[in-house]
This record gives sequence, structure tokens and C-alpha cells, in this order.
Amino acid sequence: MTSHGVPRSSTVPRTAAAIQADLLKITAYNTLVSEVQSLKSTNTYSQTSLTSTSSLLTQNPEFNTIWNFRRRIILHLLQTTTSPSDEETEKLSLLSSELKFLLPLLQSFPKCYWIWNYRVFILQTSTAQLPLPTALKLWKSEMMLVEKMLGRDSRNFHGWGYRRFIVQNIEELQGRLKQSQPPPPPSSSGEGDGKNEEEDEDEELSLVEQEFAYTTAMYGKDLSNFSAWHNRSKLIPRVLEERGATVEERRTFLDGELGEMQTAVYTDPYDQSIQLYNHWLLAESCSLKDESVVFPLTTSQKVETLLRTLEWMRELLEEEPECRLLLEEMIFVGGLVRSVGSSGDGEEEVDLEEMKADMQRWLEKLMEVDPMRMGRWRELQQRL
Amino acid sequence: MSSSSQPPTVAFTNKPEELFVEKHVKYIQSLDTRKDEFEYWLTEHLRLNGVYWGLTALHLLNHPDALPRDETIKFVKSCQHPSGGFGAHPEHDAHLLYTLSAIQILAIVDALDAVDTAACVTYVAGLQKSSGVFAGDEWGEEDTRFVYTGLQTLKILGRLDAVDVEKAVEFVLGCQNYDGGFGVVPGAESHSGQIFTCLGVLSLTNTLDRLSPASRDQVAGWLAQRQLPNGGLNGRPEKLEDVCYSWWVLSSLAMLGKLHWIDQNKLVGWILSCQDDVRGGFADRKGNAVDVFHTVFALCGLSLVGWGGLKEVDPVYCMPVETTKRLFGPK
Repeated sequence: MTSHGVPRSSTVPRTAAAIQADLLKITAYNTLVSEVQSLKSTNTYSQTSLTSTSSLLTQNPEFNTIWNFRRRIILHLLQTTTSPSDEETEKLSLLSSELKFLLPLLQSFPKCYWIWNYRVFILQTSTAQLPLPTALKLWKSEMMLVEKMLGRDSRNFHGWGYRRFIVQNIEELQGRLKQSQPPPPPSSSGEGDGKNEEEDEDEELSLVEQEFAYTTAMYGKDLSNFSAWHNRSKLIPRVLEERGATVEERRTFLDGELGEMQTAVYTDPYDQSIQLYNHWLLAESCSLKDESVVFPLTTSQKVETLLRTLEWMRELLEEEPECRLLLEEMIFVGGLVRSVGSSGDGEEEVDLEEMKADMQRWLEKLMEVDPMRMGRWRELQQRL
Repeated sequence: MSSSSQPPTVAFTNKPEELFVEKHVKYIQSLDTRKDEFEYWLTEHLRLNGVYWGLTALHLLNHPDALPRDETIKFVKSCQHPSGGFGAHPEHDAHLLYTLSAIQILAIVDALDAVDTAACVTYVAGLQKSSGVFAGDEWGEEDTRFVYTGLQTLKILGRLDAVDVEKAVEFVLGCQNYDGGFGVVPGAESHSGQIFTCLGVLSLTNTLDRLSPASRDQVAGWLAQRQLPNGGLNGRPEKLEDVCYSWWVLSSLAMLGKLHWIDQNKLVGWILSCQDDVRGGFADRKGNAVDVFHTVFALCGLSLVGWGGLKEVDPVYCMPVETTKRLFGPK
């Protein structure tokens, strides 16, 4: 009922044989639905019920009510393990087999919310019901699934959200695990060794560097991956904080990112993903507001950064005079130059009137090459 | 906020007769007679939503009586649980996604007193979490979609006082990204669907001014970038166009008063190209299979830009303006 990308079938009516085949399929499906619904209405939380829901959900993973029934079955089976001595193994085996059951379904229906939700439920249940180290192992092995999903579709919305969620949980569980372990006895061996161990442990608690590196790898494969750029922008404040970056190191980091952007925009000036990230870097570091915590620049550094950016953009514009994204970004950067340059606390030599004239020129060109958004450009023109 | 505040009249190229009104009405009427198709049974979990989509489409097409009113009300009633929430169909579990559709259907046909609305308020209010977000159901998935569905349900029932509106608004504001857009939870990537639900929350709680003018312009700029050279709209940067974004993107632009930031004439032409000219209905893209979900959002898009003599749709509630006027009074 919410089909996407399904080609329209022919307008020829179905043959009698085709209708008959459909009716058989419908009867078999509806028999299964009645069977599962009757187990549900009698609260039959058994292994047999579990198997029936597997058959039904494999045919129709969008049937969320049946996922809910399956949740109740699992919670019941976890309470009624057969051998108390081996309770943990039994629980782990049940939860692991659930995760396994979902794999082919996720591959066939990567955009089905209910499957992802159910998977999250199983993982959260494992946190609640299994010893911490065992649960942590399950969460950690989810990273392989995420890699696979994002390898197949690098923009999958669920995949990226799931990745952030898994990372968050691993970090939290690792923190809890560390707290629950007694602190190591004061080291009597070599001082150096003890210190290293401690550092290693601290490093494991945060996955931010690993995640940051992942975004680098992802845009390395495809510059046009906005999901990766988005995640990168969200990670950077934490990366810099955890590195204990000094003001100078933060500026160097920013220059590195802006340099990458220059190359990237030159590679594909028509790609919105890159431009949006570049936009964030400049807005965060060079806006006329209180000094950014992430990228603290002085007023003259802001102006210098903006002018440097405009310089390569002007060069690129000569090669790509009709590139609307570039023109829009140049107007944005020009606006930043004017607001920062006129703030009065810098002695920069920027001709603000000339900048305004440039912006007007770019805007006129933009109106010519991007008539679809004329209403927006007219408003901008009025404000200029 | 309504489309009437937009700069007037676009010179449209397409003529009203290019919309196959009768075929679309017939298509929607046929939806419940397709019991010999496997797809009908596979989509039972969307039945209540389907009724809402079909009914809204028919109202916009000015055929409000094309579905039998009594049967519609009876069906909605049969989907309510003792908890007050609604399932997609009898024997289906309750969820906010169905609860809103149920209440919207009853609001459109002016029959809210047919169900236990007090229980419904209790159900919805029980799903708000301490962070202000709403869970979709008792199993706890949290998403800005559910803040919207929860609050709209309560607003229709006149019971926004049953929840912490300020916290809900704060949660939504916390989902805004640097590109101006909104994601499903804090930290998530901007997506047109989520922008619709978040702007919807701010609009229906009269808190749109919590976004600065610069921030509103930024999100409107991002939304305007969703229009592709063929006129269609996509949901995120560098993705394909899809008819349903004629609603998510366009209603958001309408809430911001910036419909004129895109080429509405080109969009109309593109939406019309997604019709099935033989059997009625709209598909996600030209030549694909139609469904009622894309059909209603195509018509909503056409209605928002004021093309084709369709009844006016409310960009905040996705119901006919006739209904929202009756509920909330004129804007």
C-alpha cells in the first residue's frame, strides 16, 4: 500500500489461472494468520507459537502485531528456562537465535521499521537478562551487521541511526562494566607498563575515534555521502574534546577539513553533500557570534579564513560559471565576511562595499541559472 | 501560515482536466473490493491509515460521500482497544500511528463522539516520556514522528493539557541540525519527513517562533533544494524524487510561508505525470505501481499550491481545511 519503485504492471486483466493461483496463496496465508492470531488470543507463549510467528513474519515482516506477540513469547521463554544450572546458556542461545532469524529479513527488507525495532528489543532484553560481558559481546557483534548494511546502501537511514544507537550502547555498557570491576591493585611492576594498560582501557571506553575514522572511510569511497558528512559534523566536537585539543590544534584541524573540502568541491562542484558540510565548517567557525567552542578563531582569523575560501571559490567559478550551488555558497561566505568584517573589532582591510557588489553580481547570475528557486533569490536580493 | 498568505497566483501550464478526478475516485472506492489480490491481505496492518488516506483524498477531490460514512465509523470503532488506543484493524495491536488516523477519520466525518475519546487521551498521554518525546506504543520506539502523532491526536480532542507540551517542544528543538533540518532523534540526519513532523509540532503548539527567522530561512532553503530539475522533490540531498515528498516538503514550506521558494508550476506537471491514466491513482514516480498513500500526498501537493480546483488542505494537520476550521475555528 506504500509501494516504492515498483513498476506498474500491465493493464491486461489477470488470467483465470492467475486469479486462482492468487486465491490459493491468500487462503494459505489467511489460514496461517488465523492460527497465529488464535495462539495470541489464548496467550500461548510456546516454542510452537514462536515457530508459527517465524513463518508468518517471513512472509509479511510489516505485520507489527505479530512482532509484538513474538516479544511476549520470548519474554516468557526466557522466564521458563528448563535447566536452572544452565540458565545463562539457554537464554543466550534463545536471544542469539532471534538475532540470527532477523538477518535474512533485514537483507530483504532493509527499510522495514518493525524488524529494526524488534532487533533493538532483543538486544535490550539481553542487557537486562544476561551478564554484562555476555550482553556486551552481542552488542559489539552488531557492528558487523551495520558495516554490511551500510556497505550495501551507504545512505540507509535506518543503518546510520542504528549504528549511532549501537555505538552509544556499547560505550554505556563498557562504562558500566568498568565501574563494576574492582580497581586494579597498585602496580608493583614497571611504572611504564601500568600506565600503558590504563591508557588502553580508557581508549576502549570511547568509540569516537573509531566512528570518526569510519566517516573518513565512507566519504573516501563516495564524496556524495551526506549521511557520512552529517555524522562527521556530530562527532567532531567530541573528537576534539577527547583529544584534549588546544586552541592551536583545533585551528589546525579546521584548516585540514577546509582543505579537504576545497579538493572535494573541485572534484564535484554540483554535489550538495559536500557543500552542506563545508557550509557547516564555515558557519561554525566564522560566524559573528560568541567564539565557537569547537573552532575558536579570532576575528582576523575568521576574515582570513573566509577570504581564503572565497579565493578558491572565485577561481572555481571561472571554470564553472553556471554552478548554482557554488554561487549560493559564495553569497553565503560573502555575507559572513560582511558581518564579521563590519563588527569593528578587527583592523582587516576588506572593502565591504566591493564585497556587496560581488554578492549582487553572484546573485544575479544565480537568478539566471536557478530560476526554479526565483522566489527565494528575489527575497535575498531585497535584503541585500 | 495558511497558503493564502503566499504571494498570489502562479501561472500554471497544466489544465484542470489533466487531473483524472473520476478515475481517482473510482480507484479509491475500489480499494476495499480487492480481496482477491494477495497484496490486500498483506497490507492489513495499514488498513486504518488507508481509510484515512483515501477519505482525505476524496474530500480534496470534492467527493466527500464516496465512501459510506456509517461503515467507516463502524470500522474505526472496531479498531479501538480497551486501553483507548487504536490498531490498524480489529485484532491488531494499538499504536500511535493508527490512533491518529482513527481520530483524523472521525474528525473529517464529524463523528468524534462515536468512540471513547477519554480513554484515547489517557492512552496517548501515557506514551510521553520524561524527555518530552513520545513512544509509538508500549514497546517504546521513540521518534519525532510520534511527538507529532501524539500531539495532533490530543489537539483534535482538545486535550493538549493532558501532556507536557513544553517538554515535547524542547525535544523537537533538540533534533534540529546545522543544516536547519530535523532528524528522528537528537543527532540523526535531517530528513524531509521529519522536518514535516517537527514543524508540525511547532505549528500546532503555536511555537514556530521558537525557531529564529534565520533558522526558518535556513530550513526553507534546504527544503527548496529538494526540487530536482524535472520538478519533482526528493527527501534528502542526492536522493531520487518521490511523489510523497510533494507533501512532506511542500507542507513544510507552506508552514514556513515559503511555497514560492520552489517552482510550483513545474512541480504540478511532475506530480500529474505520476498518475495512472487508465486505472486512476498516483505512483511514487512516473510509470510505477500506484497506491493510496502516494495518491493522497500527490493530491495534497496539488491542493497546497492551489492547482486544479481541489479543496484546500491544511499543511499542519493533513486534513481538509473545512475540517480544521470546524475543529479549531478560522485561522
